[in-house]
Amino acid sequence: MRKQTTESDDPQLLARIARGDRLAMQALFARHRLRVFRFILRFLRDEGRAEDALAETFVDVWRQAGAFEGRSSVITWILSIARFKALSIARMRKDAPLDEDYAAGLADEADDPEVLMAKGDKAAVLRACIQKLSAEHREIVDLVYYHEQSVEEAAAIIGIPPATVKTRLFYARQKLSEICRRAGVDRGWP
Amino acid sequence: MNPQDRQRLAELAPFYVAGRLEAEERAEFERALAQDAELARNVEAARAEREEIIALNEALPLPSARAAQKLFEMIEAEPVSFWSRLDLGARLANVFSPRALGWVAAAACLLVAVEAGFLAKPAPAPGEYATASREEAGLDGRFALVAFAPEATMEKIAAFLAGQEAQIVGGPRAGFFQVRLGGKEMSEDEAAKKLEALRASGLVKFAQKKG
Repeated sequence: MRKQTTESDDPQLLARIARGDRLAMQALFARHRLRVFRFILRFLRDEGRAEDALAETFVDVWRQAGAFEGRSSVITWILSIARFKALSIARMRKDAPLDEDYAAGLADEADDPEVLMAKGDKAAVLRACIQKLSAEHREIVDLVYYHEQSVEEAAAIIGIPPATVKTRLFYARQKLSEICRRAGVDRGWP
Repeated sequence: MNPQDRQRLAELAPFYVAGRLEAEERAEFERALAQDAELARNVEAARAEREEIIALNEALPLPSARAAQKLFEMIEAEPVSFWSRLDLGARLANVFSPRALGWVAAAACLLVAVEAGFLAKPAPAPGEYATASREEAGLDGRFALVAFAPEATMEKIAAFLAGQEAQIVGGPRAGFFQVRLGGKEMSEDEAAKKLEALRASGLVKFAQKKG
């Protein structure tokens, strides 16, 4: 998702929200609801619950707007709140533990990479292989490629050191290459 | 290039592709990229990953209108925390002149006193200050939503409101104060006249009947 130039006034919107400005809240919600919802949905796999978590995330934004210190971008701050909300909701659900089972559940929803390979659709094979990454690995690739978060921003959202962000992403990509090789696709790296 | 540098740059490839390297790091990465076939393959793989990650995310559903409805219902149901919304810092400087800021600070002092335990006291006589806490305590009557003009001073506002037997009972919220024009026995015509007088005073930049 490309960064919008309009996001540069996010801190001003937050300042207005801190003063109780509902119009500013509507503007901020309209601007970021989609990417935050999609980020949450990866954790919860349930649109209804993801919408609840989305609303709760932005209620926290409303409550805590005055506490935003500008150490990160506003979207990084919101995504860190969203992650906490999604994890809290997911942990309350016995049927959706945040481990490899989660990734397996997602993978089941995707076409089989080998079948796609037989069809000759390499892009679809890659997408299916991405779906087979673990939740931890999928989170980091989403944050960097889709949400365009820097090393430091991803570290702030996940709550891990920046060096771990880089190594986690590196190993996620190596794992992806392994999965692709098993499906008959040599990505040429590593 | 030593193995440590090679590994460090290999780990940066996704951030390069996503455009999230600082200028200096990016320049170093591009210098290495021009000479290192392995790094070039890494970048190509990262570009392909990025395209498909974006496609996968874009294929996810949109949130329904229910999410927005729920959010704003929750916000409406939030307890009106005047203190959490009262910011006497730099942000109010956008709304008020320095003199008016001094007046806001004085009003805040009064609010502290009220919050500290004077809520049980009888309602103020006409022309006295009352505060947001009084409205939250159930004060009724005719109200207006008012934004004072930047050049309005505390003395002028206080004198005018006293003359009109009106009181500030809430705010600032989003730059607006709630002003009680009179009790519930006041007719709509009388309230409209007071509102007109407020607008004509030159002390406000916005005044609208509330409720």
